[in-house]
Amino acid sequence: MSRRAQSSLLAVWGWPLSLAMLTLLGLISALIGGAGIWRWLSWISLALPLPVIALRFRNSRKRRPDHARSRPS
Amino acid sequence: MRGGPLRRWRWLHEWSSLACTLFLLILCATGLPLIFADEIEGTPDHAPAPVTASLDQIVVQHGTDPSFVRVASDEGRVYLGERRGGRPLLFDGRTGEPTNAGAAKPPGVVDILLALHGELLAGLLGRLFIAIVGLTALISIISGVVVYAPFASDRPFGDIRKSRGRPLAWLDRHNVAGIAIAAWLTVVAVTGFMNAIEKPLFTLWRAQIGGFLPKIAAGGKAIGPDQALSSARAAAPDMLFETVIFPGPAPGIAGYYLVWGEGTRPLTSRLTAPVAVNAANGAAVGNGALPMPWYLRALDVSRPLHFGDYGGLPLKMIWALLDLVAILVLGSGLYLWAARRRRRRSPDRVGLSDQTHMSEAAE
Repeated sequence: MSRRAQSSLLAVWGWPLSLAMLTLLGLISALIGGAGIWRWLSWISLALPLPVIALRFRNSRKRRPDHARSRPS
Repeated sequence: MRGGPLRRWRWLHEWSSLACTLFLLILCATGLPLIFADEIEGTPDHAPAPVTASLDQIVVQHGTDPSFVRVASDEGRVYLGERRGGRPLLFDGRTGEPTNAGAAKPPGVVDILLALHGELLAGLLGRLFIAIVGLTALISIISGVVVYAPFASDRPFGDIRKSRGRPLAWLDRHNVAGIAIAAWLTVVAVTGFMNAIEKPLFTLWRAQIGGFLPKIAAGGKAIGPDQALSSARAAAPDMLFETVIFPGPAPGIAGYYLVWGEGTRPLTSRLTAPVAVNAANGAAVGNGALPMPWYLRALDVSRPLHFGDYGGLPLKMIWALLDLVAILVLGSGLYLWAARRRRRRSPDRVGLSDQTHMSEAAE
């Protein structure tokens, strides 16, 4: 795989994959833990997609000029 | 990926989503309050007295053709279920006297929501239908993840094109919210499917276990539920037993009491298993609980993972918020479909589908 293909794979799947791993970590750690650190770990990792979504939605309010995107279409 | 395969995945995403969106919206809407079922039903303000009443006596006095008795220690009550169905009767755990004047507990709001969420008020048929909805949702999620890649290949994560019309902005929102909760959606869809096929799974298991247990004459019921319960407790002292299923047809097995219990440690507390007790002489079969097949273990794990009620109130609130995001993804998907249809009909305007295909053609 070329370096360019690798970097674009990371660009596409970096965020989604990290969020998916966090979700799974959260689901499993809540199953393991009766209390304490496991619960906190599950709350934090399961909740993380929420602020990510909220931030992306909010950023959209700032009018982003179209030419900021890399490729002409 | 582009061209033919991508078009086929898009087609799959569009139609699998359309097929299940309405039902998924119902499931999300009814599931939202169900996350807080415990809070809605309320917990007793004082610890209930331990259940000491004789199950035998309750069954003899009030049962006609009982299918189960359940010792609900957390409520200080005993439930008695009849084979003809209907709602179980309630008894005081200390005195064994019927509560509710001997009538079944009237269905509360949680029961109604559960009947809607679990079977669309249509019994077993509704359950199987919901299982199909769950599978369709899974197809929709997988195809959605597949079509996400070409969509996201030429822009930063979560870039929302606000200035180029409402449909395009909502396409971006649909994609970022959908991909961010894709793992959670998958888990909830799969575990929901597992819960929906619970009854067929148990039917399968009963058929298997019936061949595994030594054959004994059916109908030789000499012992009562009290003795079945104490036999099970003696056979598996590290488990907590609450439910005694009477010998006979489903949910029971001919010739044996099934005493269902669960583990008592954090890791095992969700794993349920029964001890089979010979109804003629009260002897437990084998050493402790019966071995459980993988699909019933998967079902045990599926329950908490679907309901989100296994990590305290914060987890429930996170579950509720994720549910709201799911509603947003469903609603925006529906909107995008309608907007695309409208634009396809008026070809003089550059439509949403044309724009997304244009960015793809630029690759």
